[in-house]
Amino acid sequence: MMKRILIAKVGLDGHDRGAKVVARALKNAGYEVIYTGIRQSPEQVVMTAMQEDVSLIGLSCLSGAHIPLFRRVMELMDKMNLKIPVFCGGTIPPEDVDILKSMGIKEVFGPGSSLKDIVEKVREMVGDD
Amino acid sequence: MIEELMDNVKNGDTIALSKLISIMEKDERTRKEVIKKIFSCPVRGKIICFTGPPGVGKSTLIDQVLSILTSEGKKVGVILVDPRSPYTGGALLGDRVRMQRHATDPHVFIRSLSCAENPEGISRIVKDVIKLMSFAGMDYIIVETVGTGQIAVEVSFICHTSVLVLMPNMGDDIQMMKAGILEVADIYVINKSDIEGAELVEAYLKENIGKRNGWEPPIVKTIGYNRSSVVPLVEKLEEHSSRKNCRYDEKIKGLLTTMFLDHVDELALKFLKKSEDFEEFVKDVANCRMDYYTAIENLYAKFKKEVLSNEG
Ligand SMILES: Nc1nc2c(ncn2[C@@H]2O[C@H](COP(=O)(O)OP(=O)(O)OP(=O)(O)O)[C@@H](O)[C@H]2O)c(=O)[nH]1
Ligand SMILES: [Mg+2]
Repeated sequence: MMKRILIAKVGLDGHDRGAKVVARALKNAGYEVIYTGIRQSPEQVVMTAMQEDVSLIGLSCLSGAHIPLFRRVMELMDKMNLKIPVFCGGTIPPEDVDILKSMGIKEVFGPGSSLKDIVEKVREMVGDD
Repeated sequence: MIEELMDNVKNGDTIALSKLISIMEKDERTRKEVIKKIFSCPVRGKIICFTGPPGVGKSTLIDQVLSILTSEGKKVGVILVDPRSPYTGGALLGDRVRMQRHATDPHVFIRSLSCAENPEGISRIVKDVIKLMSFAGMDYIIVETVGTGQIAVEVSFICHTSVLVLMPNMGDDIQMMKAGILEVADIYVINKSDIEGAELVEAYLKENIGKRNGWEPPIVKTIGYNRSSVVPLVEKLEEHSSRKNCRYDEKIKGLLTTMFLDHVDELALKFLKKSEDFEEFVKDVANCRMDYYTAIENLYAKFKKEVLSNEG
């Protein structure tokens, strides 16, 4: 079956061009992409991932509050015992990458990441089975 | 494992529900097995579908209906179907965007389905997911499907109430869909009635839809952003989906008819594909050694002997 990926835009800023571009690229790469729209709370993201039974979650944040927001996502998933890999992108300064990875986030795509690279890494994260 | 999942679904475990939907989507055999086990569970949920052309406001309306129903304490399952044909292989499902404020409501369960893998079969999966949601204890099950074609009609057979959503300024488009869902809808909505031109659509509908099975399909004008404008729609939904009005038997008759035709169709196609005689008949007819009526009679006789009598 086709793998399902959730793309969610967290934080209070209203720009989702980047998230939409990634969503479309993943669609074109053959995935079923579920898009949530902007200004999602960590609770909304996790409940959506659960209801849609996705194999991967992509979070985007441009508001600067990515660390607390993404941490909350990871905590909620833990609490619900959901084991879904997470990657993220947005305006993330290089010094935050290690912090995010230590929270359990699989891949971090900072500004200037190529779509090709993102699609490739997504393939690795969702696996083939 | 399936048994355990089913027990959990019945006890209101939404993670189990979500997993079981995925399994049913993937595996036809399991899907049938599950349905055979739960069929006797009474359809307690009211099943409603919203169909209509792209962009008329179906998702926005469902969002409002969700607000109204959940404020009355109802549990609602939502199935968002995107049957658009996949040219690229994948699918981008965005109907949820309009109803994300309900994502964290424990009384709401929203699931998006694409038909990227199985364009013809999507209505089969949808009807089984509806049944499963009913088993999971939903009071209402709402289905959104874009378009007005065959899929919408097939889905409408399993719903108590079909809502066709239209909008102003779509005169020509309405005429184009005459044959399909326009005839089977139970409630007509003219959404975006803040825009001019709703009267034209209304006049067209009044002229072309009549009383059916003792029910006069109402025309409701709504504004998707305005909750109070959607309240009359919910009232009509209640009124229609009460068993007496919705004539569920008639719909199930339509459902069984399509399912039976599908089944026979599948058998016949399978037979044609592997029948060597078929190739012979093709040559005979092409070279004027046999007329096509005789060819079909002979072919049918073989089909009857080789397939139908062995089907048990
Ligand atoms: N002016 C106006 N716009 C509306 C109304 N209801 C919805 N819209 C807008 O119409 C657009 C489409 O709304 P959706 O709810 O996504 O429509 P849909 O029928 O679900 O669309 P698809 O699922 O893509 O077919 C959005 O931009 C809505 O904000 C309304 O009553 N009036
Ligand atoms: Mg929609």
